[in-house]
Formats: sequence, C-alpha cells, structure tokens
Amino acid sequence: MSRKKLDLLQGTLDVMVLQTLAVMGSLHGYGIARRIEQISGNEVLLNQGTIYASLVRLQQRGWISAKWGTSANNRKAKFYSITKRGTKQLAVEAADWKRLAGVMGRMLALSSEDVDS
Amino acid sequence: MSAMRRLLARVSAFFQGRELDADLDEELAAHVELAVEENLKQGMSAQETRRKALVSLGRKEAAKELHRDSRGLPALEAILQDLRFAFRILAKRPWLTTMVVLVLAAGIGVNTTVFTLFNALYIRGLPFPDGNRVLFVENNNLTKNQQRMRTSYPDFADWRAEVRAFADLGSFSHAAFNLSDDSAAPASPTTRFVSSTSRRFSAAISSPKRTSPARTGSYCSATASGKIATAETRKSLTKPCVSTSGCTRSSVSCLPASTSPLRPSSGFRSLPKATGSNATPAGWVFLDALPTAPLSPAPRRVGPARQQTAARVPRYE
Repeated sequence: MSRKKLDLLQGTLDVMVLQTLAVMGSLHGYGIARRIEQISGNEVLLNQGTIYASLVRLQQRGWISAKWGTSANNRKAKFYSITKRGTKQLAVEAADWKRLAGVMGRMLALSSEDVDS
Repeated sequence: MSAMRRLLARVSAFFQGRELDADLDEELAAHVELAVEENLKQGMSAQETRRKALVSLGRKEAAKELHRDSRGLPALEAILQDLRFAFRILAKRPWLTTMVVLVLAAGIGVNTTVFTLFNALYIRGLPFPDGNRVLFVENNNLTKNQQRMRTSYPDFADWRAEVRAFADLGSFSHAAFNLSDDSAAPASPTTRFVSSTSRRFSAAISSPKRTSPARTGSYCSATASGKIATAETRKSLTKPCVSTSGCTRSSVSCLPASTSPLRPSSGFRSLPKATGSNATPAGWVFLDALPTAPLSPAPRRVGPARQQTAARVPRYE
C-alpha cells in the first residue's frame, strides 16, 4: 500500500511553479505539472487542473509571462516563462521558505533533554 | 505595486470572462493531448492513456472554477449571479411581482408623503430667514395659572416699541366672517396681527410697562430670543386680559412659533415671583439656553429710534 500523498500547503504551489520555470525556462502547463510531480517523487497530491489557477495568479502579478506556441511534437500549447520580477520574487519566497523550513526542523528536533538542560 | 497590478488584471479579466474561458478550454485540451502523447510513449493502450490523462488532470469544471476565482472578481460575480437568478424568478411569477411592486410603491409613497409633511411642519420651521428663531409670545397669568391668554393691543404696542429682545414684534388675528347670511352677525371676532420684518436680534430686556392704569408703575420682564415674534392681542381696552393689577400677576412667555400651537410650554421655565419694589420684575418666564445680553434702557419711540436699537443689538450665531 502506497503512502498517503501530502496535501499542498497554501502558497506552496506558486513557489514550485516559479522555481520550475526558473530552472526549466519556457514550459507549458502540463510540463510544469509533470515536473513538479517528478521532483516531489510523487509524494505530493497534485491535481493537475489546479496548476492553471496558479499560473493565472502569477501572470496577473507580472511574475511570469505566457505565449501560445508549438511543442516539440508540433502540438499547439501555451508556454510560460518567468519574468525578471518573477525571478526577484522567487528569491524572496525561497528565502522565506528556507527560514520556515529551518524553524520547523529545529522545532521537530527538539527533545526533552534540550528542554531540561 | 504587485497587488495593484493584480487588482487591475482581475478587473480586466472580469470583463473578458468568455475569451479567457475559451483560452483555458483550449489550454486544458492541449494538456490532455500532451499527457496522452507522453503516456503512449510509455506503451499504454490508447484508451488507457486518455483515461489516465483525464484522471490526473482532475475535474475539468473544478479547474475552470478555480481559474475564474483566481483571475476575476469572484464576489462581484456571485452578486451578479444572484441578481440574474432573482430576475429570472420574478419573470417567472408576474402576478406576484406585480403585487410586490404595487405594495412597495404604495408604502414608499405614503412614507414620502408623511415625511414631507413632518419635515415641513416640524423640521424645516417657518418659511422665513432663520425661521427657527421665530417665537410665539403669549400672556400667562401666574396667579390663576392661566396660559395663552390674549394680549391687549396697548400691551402689544408697548412691547413693540420697547422690548428689545426681539428684532421685531407682530401680532396676528383670527376673524370669523359671515359670508352667506346678511342678517346674522359675525361670530365673536377677535384680532391678532402678524409682523413682517425679519431683523436679527437677540437680547434681554427689562421694560417699563405703562399700559392700562392698573399697571402703571409695575414692571414686566421678558427674556427671549428670536427674529419675529407674534403677540396675541385683544383689541378692547376695556377688557384687559390680565384682570388684576397688571404685571404683578402676568408674564410673557415666548415659544418657537412653529411649535407653539402644539407644545405651549416646552422649553420654558417660570422663575419665582420677586417681591418688593417696583423695580423688581414681578414674573419671569424665559427660554432656557437662549442667549441673553445685558439689560439696557429701552427706547421710547417707534420708528427711526427703534431701528437704531435693532442695529445695536448684539448678534449670536
């Protein structure tokens, strides 16, 4: 029996999309969704349809841009790429997430001995 | 900055809903095709690949709903949806709609009428400049506890000449006429006068009264504020309205004219009767909380002198 997949926390998907685009360059919605699934090692429960809500949010904030184009197999698709502002934003968000992850790590590493001493 | 940009984008997306929906439909279709393509490469059967692609995409309608909420103005959209629904229901039941509209129209009409009347009678005051400062002056007999008695014309003439609490005084009358029957006499006509000037005033006065012989030497005082005051008066000199020894038993009270007929004693207070010499006011009735000025000798003459007096009256805004 497979482990239960993790629910995505609020706001995590946007950062994941930004990071994916920053690394992969121009990519269509399906490509982004697949990439996130692959990198998460299928640990994350991603409803692929939700990626488009995230994409439109990021687009409205001016962090990514979109353009219709053709895929490698000559299929029509909308391609997204990160903008300069998006890159800046990603740096900010990444730093925040690292801090939070650090705090969570320290919290969960806390043992009774640490408290006693 | 980013929030502002997002808001603008949301507003513009709100007005382009249809195009954006079509765009998303196309994008989702492309999504499925791309997924099918990839699954085929991994050697699945054609049917299986499509099913799997659709499953991993999730419910299409849910994706579209989420997309709309993220890009547009969901609250406004919900309101519009409710309104559309409401109008559909109303159109479906024309009789009920007609009844409701009629009832509402009648209700609003009645309310407006009543408020218009109330506003004209109680809130807006009389149709003069500073109509709320117009007062109604009346005679009270403190000993007999009689209120709103008529005022003798000489009293009125004296007040008009000498009372500096008012910019001007006037009186008015009711008269009964017989229009149909030559033989019948008019029923007990009484006389009142109404003033027409509207000079601003505000002052207090202690005015010597010399009207009927009975009152000679006694003093009345009135403190009041207003612009036009009216005094009821009785024409007849032989029947002074204050039947015994003049001012020692009478007082003058001033009421806002617009309220006078309905609330004759609101805002008034009687002071204890003073005793002693002629110079002491015998009865006071005055408006609470209205401005007063130091007492000053009253001019004796009506006419130019009087106008001068009015010009000297201090102004209170």
